[in-house]
Amino acid sequence: MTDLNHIPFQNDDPDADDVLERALGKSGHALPQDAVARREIAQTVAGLAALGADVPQVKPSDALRAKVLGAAVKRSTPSVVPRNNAADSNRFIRVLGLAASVAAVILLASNVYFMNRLSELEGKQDAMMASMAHDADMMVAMIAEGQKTPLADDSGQERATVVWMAGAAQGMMITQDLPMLSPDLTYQLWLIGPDGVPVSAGTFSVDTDGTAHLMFDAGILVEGFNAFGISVEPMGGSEQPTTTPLAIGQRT
Amino acid sequence: LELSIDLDFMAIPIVASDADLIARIVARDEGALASLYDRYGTLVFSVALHIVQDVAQAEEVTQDTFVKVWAQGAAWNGSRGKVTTWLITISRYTAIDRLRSEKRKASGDAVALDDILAVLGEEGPMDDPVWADVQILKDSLRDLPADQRQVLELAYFRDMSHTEMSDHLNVPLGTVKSRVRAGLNKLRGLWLERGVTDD
Repeated sequence: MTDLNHIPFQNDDPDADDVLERALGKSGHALPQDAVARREIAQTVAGLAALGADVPQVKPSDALRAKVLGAAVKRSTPSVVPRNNAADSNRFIRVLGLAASVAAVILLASNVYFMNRLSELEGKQDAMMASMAHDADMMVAMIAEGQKTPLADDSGQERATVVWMAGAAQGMMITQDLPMLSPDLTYQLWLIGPDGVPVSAGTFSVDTDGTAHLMFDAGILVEGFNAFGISVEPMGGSEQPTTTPLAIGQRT
Repeated sequence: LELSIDLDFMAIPIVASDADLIARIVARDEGALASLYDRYGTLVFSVALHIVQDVAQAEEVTQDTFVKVWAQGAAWNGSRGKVTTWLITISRYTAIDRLRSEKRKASGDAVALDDILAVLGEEGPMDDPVWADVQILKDSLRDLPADQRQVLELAYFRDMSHTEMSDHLNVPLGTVKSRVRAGLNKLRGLWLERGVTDD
């Protein structure tokens, strides 16, 4: 049995008095490089987390969920997969607009700084155009040669199509005539395995004309899934569908 | 088109591990962030509220915490720490940082959150599966003497220095330091008692 009151810190020197303050992030000293001292601080941080876990639990308002998820996603760098290319297009246009503004300043001032800045923006623009061109090539190939599964609503009206190249894990979903949702809701695409378990392929929003396309990476061959579905979920998406799917299709 | 798909799949529950959720967050899966919030939003909010003592500010701290998780999920070392420890540490730091700003308290020399999280990911007793459970975190405090827990709570939740605690409690500075040292040793001993290797 360990004597709990007589367990010295391994780094039992005068600096040990600072362990608490260092672990709490308020010491004027930088964190030590010494491995033993760093471990001591790590253990202190972890142990003190018990204090945090022990506070009275207060449920936040329901509205906070959408606020938190909206803020997180809004401030993040858009990802490659899954990707909503409508958003890419908007960002592309914004970058072009900024580049044009910067170019105008250069003409007036011939400022080296802005020349460098323009060069950076052009690089980003080129990369973005290359990415979009790659996506476009993929889309054309998938639409022309790929496998297709239509997703239909209860009335049988086709609402979306999932396309992919045979033997690939990447695919794309194209929607048709889906209504725009309120800001606290999002569409979510599901890939349904042979066991009936839905796996999220990402969330998406539609343009004013009801269209959107979502590139996704299934992680395994798309043929490994038996069906596809679209449901309406709270902003940020859900771990599993929480509403009846508005469109569904069995892989053909 | 004839629909012949069994819609019962919608009722099948899926329980992803914390590590799975973080991996999906790193892959920019918004649903994973939503799941993490559903699982720990109350914990994060409660820690923040306990510190800032204001619902509106606690909501902002909660939002900032999950924004950091979304932006820096790749920094979490799943082989070392537990997500609960990580979230509590970020929430506590963010809340205290907000209080420091309000008090116009100098924070320029404070240790950066990233540094703390980095050292937390390098080593730690959290390797042991027992630390996965919030309840066990709580249980580790059960045997902590009241005077030792008091100073640790003042430091943790009220951001007090040793000197400030001495003034607040009206006890000698040496006594505060002794209680802090004993309290930290006690926590360390509790980790050891739970079979965590200390090599």
